[in-house]
Amino acid sequence: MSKQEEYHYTLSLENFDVSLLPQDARTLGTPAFREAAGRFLQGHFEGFGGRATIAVSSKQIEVHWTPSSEKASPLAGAVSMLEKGEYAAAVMTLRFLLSVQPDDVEVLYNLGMALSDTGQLDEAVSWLRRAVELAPTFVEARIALGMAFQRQGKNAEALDAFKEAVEQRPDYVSAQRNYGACLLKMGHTQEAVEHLRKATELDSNDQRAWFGLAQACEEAEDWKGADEAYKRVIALDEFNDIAETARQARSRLAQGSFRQSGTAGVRMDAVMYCLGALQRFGQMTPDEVKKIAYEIAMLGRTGLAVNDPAPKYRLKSMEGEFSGLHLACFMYVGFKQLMPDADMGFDLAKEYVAAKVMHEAKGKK
Amino acid sequence: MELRETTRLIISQVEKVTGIPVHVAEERSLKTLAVVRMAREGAPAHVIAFNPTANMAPDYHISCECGFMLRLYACPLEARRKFVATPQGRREVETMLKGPNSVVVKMRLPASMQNQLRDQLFDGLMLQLRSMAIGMRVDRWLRRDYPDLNTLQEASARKQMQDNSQALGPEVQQMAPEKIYRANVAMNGAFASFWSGILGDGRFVAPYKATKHWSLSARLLEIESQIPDNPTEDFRLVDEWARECGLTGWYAWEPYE
Repeated sequence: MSKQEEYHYTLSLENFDVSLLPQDARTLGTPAFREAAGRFLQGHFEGFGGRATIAVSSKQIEVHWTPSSEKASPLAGAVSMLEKGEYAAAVMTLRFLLSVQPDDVEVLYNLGMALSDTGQLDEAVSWLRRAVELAPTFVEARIALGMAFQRQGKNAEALDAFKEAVEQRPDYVSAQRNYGACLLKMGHTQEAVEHLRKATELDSNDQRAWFGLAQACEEAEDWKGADEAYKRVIALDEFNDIAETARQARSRLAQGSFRQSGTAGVRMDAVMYCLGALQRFGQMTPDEVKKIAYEIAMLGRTGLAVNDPAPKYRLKSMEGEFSGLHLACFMYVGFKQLMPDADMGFDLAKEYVAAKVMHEAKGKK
Repeated sequence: MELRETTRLIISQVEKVTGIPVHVAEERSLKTLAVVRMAREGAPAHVIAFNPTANMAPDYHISCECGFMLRLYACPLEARRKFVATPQGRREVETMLKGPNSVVVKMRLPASMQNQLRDQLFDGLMLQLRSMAIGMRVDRWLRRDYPDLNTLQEASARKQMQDNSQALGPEVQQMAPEKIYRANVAMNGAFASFWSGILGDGRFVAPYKATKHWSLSARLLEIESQIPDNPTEDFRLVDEWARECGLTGWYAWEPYE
């Protein structure tokens, strides 16, 4: 590769795509624009070595690039594109690299992964197979091959690939996690639990491994183990999609356990809690009800212990100590009043109807 | 000027495939680095002219022109096409140049200069459309099969990207109608992205990613990656790029005789 040389260009402000900047920095020529545009352009030069000096004036942006002594490789460039989600450009680069280095396993692996991620599965499998043939101990490529097989719906082939990966690197969390997930998919529940547990032991912060373990425990009817694992999923990052799914699963588990301990399908303790909520909310404004319902909803994002009778929760918006079920009933009644069609994730419909009948009858007296 | 062995080898491939000799000639008045004039209507030889004042060995550019010829001749005779700019395209450019707030109106350019500017913009854009996408494929082929040209090829690409980036400044933007400017910058962006990937050097594509035209560049790259690298598909590749850039009808494909 030839040596990097200094590079200079001028970008007209009219050319600049302001939608790339934060909302409050889109007015051309303002200090906020200047700062955000400079930062944006700097960001594009990161990862390529060298240093960019950026000057934003009222009409144009001037960029001067000074090279560093480090050389960037084409493969690194392609990987950087993949990390930014620029699949088409990365695939083009990788194909080119492959044409000049047909046995480069890193190129084969990255191209296979990129094609697999973009749904071009037959070709992905073909390149990943080649990578594994050339480098049988390249575990990442073996896992990528397994994932491509899975995406093709070829679970048996996927299982073989993951199994090989686990045998080669039993201490590799990705191998254990993928093998466990595949075992679970194929109905080998106990084995799946073992490998997914191993994955969580190898990396206790791997949210996907905990989620897999939770699902496997659920499948094995180990409700307590499943709930503990789902709790861990939520604790690791409570704002992503996987945490949301875990919350729904916890709610489903709690519901199942809750119903098992009721008689004739109705839990009288919940009926009484709902009745209490109806009475209390009847003396409050909608805003006050809303405040309580939302506080409980936020508190319940990691799950309320509805099967534990101990009063262990406190609220800012309402005095007293409450059990998980008590709060769930307050929340249910509150949302029924505010948004009757909302799905609360925990079904207290029967208890609510019974409480409402009692409440109305009491009102008539 | 003494050509490299590789260049001579590529020229001999052209002679073999086309059955017509290739004559290489210096031409100091050339506006581009090299140009090919293919033998037609009984001409005795293909002529590849190159500009010796370009301060760079001509081997890469000559080989590149040969690459275009070899791709054309790889198509069956009945499928070979010649790219011809149409009067319709030229008229459209003229109309744009005479529109309100155009540079022609603002600067009160005389008719002769108006025509000069029109031809410069239109011919430049048509050359870019005809050669840039197919050129990427020629470049891949040269890089794969003739690595001893790599250094010249990279130097040429870097120079071209440096030159292309001048179009991003306010002066050029004020001069060119929006449609032409957009197509030009988008194709330059696609080219920069292509080479940034090969060179592992993201500097050249960075400015394009900041422009309003980057999404079009990305679309052009996507098209290039989706259409098989087969010479018979080259016409479709150009047509698809033209469609995305709004340049359909500005050129036509005529049978190559």
